[in-house]
Amino acid sequence: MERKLITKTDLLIIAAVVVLIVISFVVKNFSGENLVAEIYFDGKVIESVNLSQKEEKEIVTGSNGETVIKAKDGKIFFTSSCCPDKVCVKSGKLEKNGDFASCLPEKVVVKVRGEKNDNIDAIVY
Amino acid sequence: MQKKKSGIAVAVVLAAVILIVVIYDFSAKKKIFEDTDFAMGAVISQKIEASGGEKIAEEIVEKIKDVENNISWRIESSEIAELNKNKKATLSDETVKYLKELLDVCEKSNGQVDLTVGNLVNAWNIGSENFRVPEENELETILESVDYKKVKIENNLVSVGANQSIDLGFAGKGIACDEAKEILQKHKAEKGIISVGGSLCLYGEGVFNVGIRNPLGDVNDYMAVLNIEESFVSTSGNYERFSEKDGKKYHHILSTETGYPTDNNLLSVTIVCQSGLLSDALSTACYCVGYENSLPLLEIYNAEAVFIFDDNTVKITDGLKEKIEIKNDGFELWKEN
Repeated sequence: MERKLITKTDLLIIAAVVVLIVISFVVKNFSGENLVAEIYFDGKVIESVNLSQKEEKEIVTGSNGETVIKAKDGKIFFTSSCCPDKVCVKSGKLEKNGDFASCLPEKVVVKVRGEKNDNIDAIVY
Repeated sequence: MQKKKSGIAVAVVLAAVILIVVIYDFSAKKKIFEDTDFAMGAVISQKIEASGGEKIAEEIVEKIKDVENNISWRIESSEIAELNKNKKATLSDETVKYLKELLDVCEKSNGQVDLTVGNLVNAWNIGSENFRVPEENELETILESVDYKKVKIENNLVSVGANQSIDLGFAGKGIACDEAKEILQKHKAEKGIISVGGSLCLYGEGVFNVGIRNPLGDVNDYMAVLNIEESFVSTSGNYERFSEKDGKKYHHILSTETGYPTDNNLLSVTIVCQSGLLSDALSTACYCVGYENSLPLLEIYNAEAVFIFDDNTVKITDGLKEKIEIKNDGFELWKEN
């Protein structure tokens, strides 16, 4: 029998470990991301909602205490606010890492955060 | 003997793979302090990579509030409010510096942006609950008061014309970005991404990926990505702030020629340059003067720009040619510019 530097068994072990590492890396970065929505009032986090676990919650906050934010089916959105322009409600549903909506008159911000790196650093608007 | 060698080879390969993965993961997760706050009627978002990031973020917000307290005409005790009221006031070095830099932009844009636009802004109140559409003759009278040439600066003594009032709303967020950079520098931060209501201060080494808001989409939708180095970025767009009446939309970028919201074929203009104040002021100026007239203006200030037109075409200046990726098929980059 010929002696090799690396045997078949060794190759199998290497392949198995590499495959495992790659799989765990892919799983961690590309799926099952742990998405958390943070609700800020006047610059402070007042509530966090786990969107990945489809946590359902209704949060009432704001300077006038009349701004309503709802989390449902892994999405979070402003349902109503006493502000004049309703920009917050028009912002739509937030569901991915980096999504952001605010109600300026009521000093409320909702941000979605995930574990993986954002594709972009910031949005200019 | 050979058996042993193969064992070592396996171990070395595995160790290398694990090391690479660990290093990659570690480098992707540097300690970054993030903060969200309010100032200048806008959301301030900060990502700071530095020791004592939290303190730096606090200092930046405090500084921005100070600037607002000096230059916002809406704040009764501000320097600009005093100037608007008494038509003459002794102002701080800082405010005089901002005024001088902005007067220069007013001059170079032939008054298409004008810091004496206060009465006009006040007549419309676009984006607020006091919004109304002014009468045509009212606008004519107001436009007579809009003329930056009547602003006189002698040392720290500043005076404006009898009916004039100053509004620095077209540059306030950019000024805030300049101040943020100074604080990041002072504390030797490694990296900082500061957003003042969408105007950005990008500080530190490396490349920043900046999404340009899709003017037709919602707040989290970007249509292109700029891969740029340390700089300031600002956008002016007709989607930013507007009011509606009788089914008609009125956006907040007012023309100093007609008194009405600027009506041209632009959806937004994004400026990249080395000054926050200029990035903000030039985005408004370029929006107002249109693409062709913007080019000489951009050259004067060594600034780059992205223009998005209402037929969904995009024009960019030469300096950004290699640095932009269109991410939305609905938009098309002009090839021959």
